[in-house]
Amino acid sequence: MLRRLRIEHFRGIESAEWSINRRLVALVGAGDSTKTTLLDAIGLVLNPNYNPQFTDADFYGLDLTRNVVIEATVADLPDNLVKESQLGKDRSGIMPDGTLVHDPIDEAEECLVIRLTVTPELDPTWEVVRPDSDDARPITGTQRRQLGYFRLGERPDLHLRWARGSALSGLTDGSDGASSVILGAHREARSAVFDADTNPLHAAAAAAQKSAGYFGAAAFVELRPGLEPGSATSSHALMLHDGLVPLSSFGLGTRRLTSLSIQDLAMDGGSIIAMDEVEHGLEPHRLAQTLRRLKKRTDAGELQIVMTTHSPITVETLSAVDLVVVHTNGAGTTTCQAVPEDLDNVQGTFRSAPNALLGRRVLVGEGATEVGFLRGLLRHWDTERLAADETLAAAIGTVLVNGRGGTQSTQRAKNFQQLGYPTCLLVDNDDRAIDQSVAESEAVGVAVHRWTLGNALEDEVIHTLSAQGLQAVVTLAVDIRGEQSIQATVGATLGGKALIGADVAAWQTQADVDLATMRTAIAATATKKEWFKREDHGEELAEVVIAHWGGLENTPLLKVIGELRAFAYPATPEPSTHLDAELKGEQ
Amino acid sequence: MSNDPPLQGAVQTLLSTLPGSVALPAGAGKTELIAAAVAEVAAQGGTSLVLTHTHAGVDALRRRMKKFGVDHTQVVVRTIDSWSYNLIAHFPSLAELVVPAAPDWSKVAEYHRAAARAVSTRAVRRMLEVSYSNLFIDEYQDCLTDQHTLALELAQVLPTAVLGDPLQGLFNFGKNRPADWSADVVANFPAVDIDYRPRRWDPDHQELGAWLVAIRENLLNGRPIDLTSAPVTWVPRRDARTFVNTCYAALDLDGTIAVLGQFRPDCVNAASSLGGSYSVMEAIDEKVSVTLATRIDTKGGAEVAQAVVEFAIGSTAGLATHIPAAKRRQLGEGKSFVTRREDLRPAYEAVVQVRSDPTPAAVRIALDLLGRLPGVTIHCREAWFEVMRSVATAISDECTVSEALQRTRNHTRAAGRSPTTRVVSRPLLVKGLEYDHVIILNPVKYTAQELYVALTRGSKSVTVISDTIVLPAAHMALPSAAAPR
Repeated sequence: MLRRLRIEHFRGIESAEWSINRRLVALVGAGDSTKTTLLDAIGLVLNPNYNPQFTDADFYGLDLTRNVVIEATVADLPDNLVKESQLGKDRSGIMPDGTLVHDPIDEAEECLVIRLTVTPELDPTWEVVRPDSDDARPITGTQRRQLGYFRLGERPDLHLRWARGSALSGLTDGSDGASSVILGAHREARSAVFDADTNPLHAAAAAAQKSAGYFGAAAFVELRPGLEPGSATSSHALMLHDGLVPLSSFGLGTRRLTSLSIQDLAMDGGSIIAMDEVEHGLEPHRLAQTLRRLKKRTDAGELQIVMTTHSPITVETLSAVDLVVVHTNGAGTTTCQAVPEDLDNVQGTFRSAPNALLGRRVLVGEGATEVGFLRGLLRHWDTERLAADETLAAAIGTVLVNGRGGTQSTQRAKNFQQLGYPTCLLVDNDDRAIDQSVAESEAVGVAVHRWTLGNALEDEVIHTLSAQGLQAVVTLAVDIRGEQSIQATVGATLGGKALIGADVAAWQTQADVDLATMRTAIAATATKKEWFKREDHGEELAEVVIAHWGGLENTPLLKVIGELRAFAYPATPEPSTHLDAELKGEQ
Repeated sequence: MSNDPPLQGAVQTLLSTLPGSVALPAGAGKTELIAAAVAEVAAQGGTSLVLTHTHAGVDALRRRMKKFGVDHTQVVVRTIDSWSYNLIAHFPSLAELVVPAAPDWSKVAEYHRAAARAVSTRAVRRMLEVSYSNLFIDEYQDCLTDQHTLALELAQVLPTAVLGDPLQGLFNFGKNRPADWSADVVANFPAVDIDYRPRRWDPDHQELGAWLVAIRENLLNGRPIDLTSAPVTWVPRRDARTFVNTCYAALDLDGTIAVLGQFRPDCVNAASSLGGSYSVMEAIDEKVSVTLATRIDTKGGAEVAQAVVEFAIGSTAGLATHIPAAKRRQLGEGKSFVTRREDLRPAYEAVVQVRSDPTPAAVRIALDLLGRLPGVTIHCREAWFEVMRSVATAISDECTVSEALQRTRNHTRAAGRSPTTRVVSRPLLVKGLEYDHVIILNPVKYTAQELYVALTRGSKSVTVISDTIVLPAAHMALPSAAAPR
């Protein structure tokens, strides 16, 4: 079982330290957060078959003045490696808190610290090292093989064939089963060609024989077409078929899943399995089934799976504690933050907003109104930025999350912030009961934005907009709820006044109140009757605000909106990992 | 050999009653029994750890394993000391001891205690369990209490057999007490009775072999040994030089000869009297060389020069006449040190050079010239060459001569000493070794164990030089008596 990974100077990672204590690990995080690099690093340090060809591109920033170092700490060692003649005396210890100690003391779990070093001459060496000492001794490929590392789902078509080194060949008893089948088939094909009816090939052969006679080449008895005998015929062409259909004709998902199941079957003993993009080629239902199966295997304690995922379904299907959030700071430091088991209600947060884990910045709206409102704003800003050829919210990785009201929303914001996502929370300011939890989320670093004291979003908008804007809000409410409903509820708030039409100025006259009183009544009704408490209605409300925000620049409403914009589109561009992406493309 | 029925029976008996101890007389096939047991374990798919005390013992065991066709992956043969050191060097926390990169064997007792601590930990136990199915410890009569403690820890994890002969327990008196066979060993490793035959004297000297078994009872019980009808040659000791003729006469015999004294000085005297035809075997930790090395490293010119000359005289015959006592005194007092003899002059000048500049290089030249003076024979060859080699190492590696000596000795420990056909030695040093002929010089002061070891070293002939044909009762040296502190 992989317990720790340390990387220096490898591809997009200048430095990374990752302590692992679970058997099922799903790496999540935004694109280019170096998840796959982590997986590749594990493969290089543990895989005996890798015979890796290193290139200059494997050095961080193409800087060839320093070595690439990948250090993996592996526990649950197989008996054979623990022998005195093998690596028994090279074991170290890993304490429950993940720190390494030189000796496998009784309080620690015994482990091997395996270090791959690649010099600028591109020479790799694998050694077992001990913490706090210069002790190092080589570890052979045969010894690394016993650690049981596999990369599942890789080269899926290979494992559907009886090819050399395929899992299917591994499942086949006896080493020459496949080749004797191929040889038999080849012999039959040879007779079939000889037995074929006379065809144009025979005429060509006869012509050749005649010509050879003129040259005195040899005295042939009968030249005819035939298949050259094969001796060690490759069994690569021998592939699984369903009925008459070769599996190579099936979809990618089926091929990957079948290959994975064959690899799983062919494995024996404890293993460390890596999978890149577990969801690749799988529909939601097959993905969920696969994950449940893998979870069952890891729960049994015999193997460990480290996977990367970009799929919300994976996030939803797994337990929150199975997830590890990967961030890169753009300056080469990668952090791997396991979801702590004691993070409150984190499961609900992930289930409700699986997408957010795959983004870079999280914008939490308190409830449906806020989320819709924020979406409306983002759409507007995106349109502006598109015209100006600037990065859009999605490309930046800003993700909207519905906080589902009250303290749940502060909780969620807190969860994301604690997992390393810069998080912003938009929350009403009319409920004193949540002040405490708002303060708590601020304390962990959430950027909290609230309206003027006492105001909900509706209050802030209705009190701030011009009369024209106010009318647009009412018109929208009428569109949503119908004129009668709006008239009746506003009239009731005003103390049982009968209102006619949908014109706010006319309502003022009918009820004989000033504009301020009218605004208060409309706002109170809008909040109480939840006129806009749906995401689409919040979005429409945002459109009204956008259409009327000219001249309101110095109001608290616009100030908060400005802050939200600054969060959604950070002035300093997110560090580019394009180099990393390009290099990957070259390989 | 492996199909020798009594041996197979003994192997079955031993392996079926572990933990256990086997006491076997000298030459009764103890090594053979271990090898056969290891072969049987290997045939069952197991792997054995075999520990003994000396590198010579390791060599002998390894050769025997090869003879039995034991695959090298199925047996590990090590000395207790080096196995312990290697273990604790890897696990300082488990051993609760940090050791230097090169072992310091003067602290070996600490190493054993540290190894015992390491073996009691979970991680080392697991390593032992998955590595070995059986443990055999040879020459157990030589186990000191700290080694015995380690053996007890090991026996908690591995089925363990210990083998030895209490009558061959020889020890230097020191802080560390040997384990007592009846009190410590048998109590933890119940005695296993094995039928034996003194094979070493097969087929031509069976009478000697039988006699050596027969006298065990007398030796164990402190009774005199009568040589009158014994299959050994008795030479009456007329004076202190009786042995000279006997030893010169023995030079005509085929094969290896060991002349056995009791302490180093009487061995050196004997070798000196024999004019270099026999070489003195040294203990691996002999102090003479250590003292000289320390002087070269730390003292002034006059003292070093004097020490070099004294060492050279003590290790050779014929040199004292070239450098009379008066000259040696002058050397030490810083006075003129010259000779009129042309052939001696280069050596004298080299010694003076040491006095004016006491470097290892000067010492090397001086010793080299002294050793090659006319009429000089070196009989303490081991000490001589050990010093020459250490001085050379000190020059090439730019270290002190003491450090170089320690390295030289570690190398000798690992590689074994070069075999010598004719040696003057002591029971303590020849234990476990075998010679064709043995000449014992005046054994009256021997302990019962020393006498037994001395008598059992010769496979073809044994000669005893003593005042009387009945050797007076020799006392058993008891472990408890060997613990003065």
